[in-house]
Amino acid sequence: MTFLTVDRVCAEYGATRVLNDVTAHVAEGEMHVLLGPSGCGKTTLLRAISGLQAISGGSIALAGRRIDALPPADRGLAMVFQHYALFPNMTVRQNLAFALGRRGLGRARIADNVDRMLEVVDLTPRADALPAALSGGQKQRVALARALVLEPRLLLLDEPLSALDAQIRKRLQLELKRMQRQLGLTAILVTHDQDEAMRMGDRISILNAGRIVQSDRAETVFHRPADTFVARFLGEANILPAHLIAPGRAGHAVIHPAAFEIVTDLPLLEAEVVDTEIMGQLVRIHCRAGGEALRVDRLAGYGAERPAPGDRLQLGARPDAVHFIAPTSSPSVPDNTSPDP
Amino acid sequence: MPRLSSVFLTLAAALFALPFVTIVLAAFGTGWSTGLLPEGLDTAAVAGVLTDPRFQAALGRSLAVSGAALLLSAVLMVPAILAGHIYWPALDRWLARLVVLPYAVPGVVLVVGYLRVFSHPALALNGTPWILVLAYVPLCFPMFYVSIKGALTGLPIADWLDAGRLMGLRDERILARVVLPMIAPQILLGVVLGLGILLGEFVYANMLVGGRFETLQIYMYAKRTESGAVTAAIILFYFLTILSLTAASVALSRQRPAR
Repeated sequence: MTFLTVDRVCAEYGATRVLNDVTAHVAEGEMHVLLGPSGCGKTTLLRAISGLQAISGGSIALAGRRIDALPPADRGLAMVFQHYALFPNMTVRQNLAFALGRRGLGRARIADNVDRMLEVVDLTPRADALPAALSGGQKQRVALARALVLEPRLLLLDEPLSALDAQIRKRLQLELKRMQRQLGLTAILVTHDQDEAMRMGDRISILNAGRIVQSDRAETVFHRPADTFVARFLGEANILPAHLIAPGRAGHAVIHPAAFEIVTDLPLLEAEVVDTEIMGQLVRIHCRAGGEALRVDRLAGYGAERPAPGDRLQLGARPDAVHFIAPTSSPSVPDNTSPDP
Repeated sequence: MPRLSSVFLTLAAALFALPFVTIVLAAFGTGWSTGLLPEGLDTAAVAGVLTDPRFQAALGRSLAVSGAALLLSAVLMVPAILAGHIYWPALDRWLARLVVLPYAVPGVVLVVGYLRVFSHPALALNGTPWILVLAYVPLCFPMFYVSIKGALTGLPIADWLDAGRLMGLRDERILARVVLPMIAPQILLGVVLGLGILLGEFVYANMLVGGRFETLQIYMYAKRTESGAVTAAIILFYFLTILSLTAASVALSRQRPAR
């Protein structure tokens, strides 16, 4: 069931339109990722939902009630900011308690709520520390706790992990996802990191130039991109003229590098090896076929033989690993709001 | 090379220290008229100045006028700088240009302007301490602007305000509870720098109020012919005051707001 409905929302910064008839649906309990390149409007959309950015058209409804005319604090949302926005002159405990200031709760109730939330994010021992004394990961958890202590119906996450280094980011991605599932939170995560989107998103909406160009389950978006922009943005898929794979066919064929197999008969393509590179567990083979550059990934065991530049490879792929995009493919925004099982 | 540098540094330090040493000798020396050094030392001139009721009154007046001007400047400038920085970048650009005006326009020109403006009945403040307070207020603006603006740049104030709005807290509350405490050392730095300048200010004080409201600098000017030791004692006191204020401002400027 749709929990948040964004319907044909438009927003402008001065004369520049940054959201252009954006429609999105978020189901209850789902982690919905807004993914796109810098400047595509994903943070603006998040801010429009939160009420921090005025919209010039369309509507936003949460749990069936329109919220787009309400002030931010009355929308039942909380937000974790990219750089946390913790109040540096307040301790962790004071940051959380300050957030509850307007709720009219008694001191004892505020203290109980704060203590409970500090336990959830495992920061009780650091309750009296100032933010400057915390690590990046701890700051991120304080920011999350400060948002959760408001008991929001919808949690907005604006690139909350982007300021962290890669290892901590991966660990916190899993932690954040586990917490979201455990608490049954509905959340919208903004990111420009495709891996993070794949790892965390139950559903992903891809934005480009102020529009959602595809919104679907992570697996579908990855393997069945709606257009070449999505295909290019997600990973490093080979986007080839369709006629190279299926003679006479127009449009493009999308094949992920790992989907290629080296075959001995009935090849899809014959390619010439240009170079190879080791990428940890994989060896990437750069080839050319029909004038197009190709990337082919193979598992690389230690000391495994690699093809040499100039070698010719016969490449095949399972039929379901090849996705065709019609030449005039229009963006698809299916109204399927059920979260992943 | 490092050895040569240290020689030059020592020479430069000695050169800078020479006036101070001379003032100390002049303030505490006796019979310094024929030799390279005074014939004796005593504290009579310094004690005489410090116990002089006229000096104490002048110091009190200087502190009162400077304090009032700094208070008025802070009340006017801190909200204006915050408003410009957070809400009206266009105003901020104008502020950056306007705050240097008291230094860009010669003091004499400004004083003549002030005397004309404050001679009309509704604003007839000429000769009163109030005209000095009002003339000193713009002199403090650059100190506040530079120190506070430096502190504000880099603070994620927009995020703090957004976080507050989502919590249902008004901007004023975030400004009072978060932003002001974060920039408090820089406000204090503006006060200290401003005090240093105002205590040493002579042109405005002399032309706007003169002997009718004797400030420290006017007192120093009046005493210049009395005795070299007395003048040196006043200058020494003034120098030590400015030195303490400078040390305080250096210490404050090292207190960077936590990010």
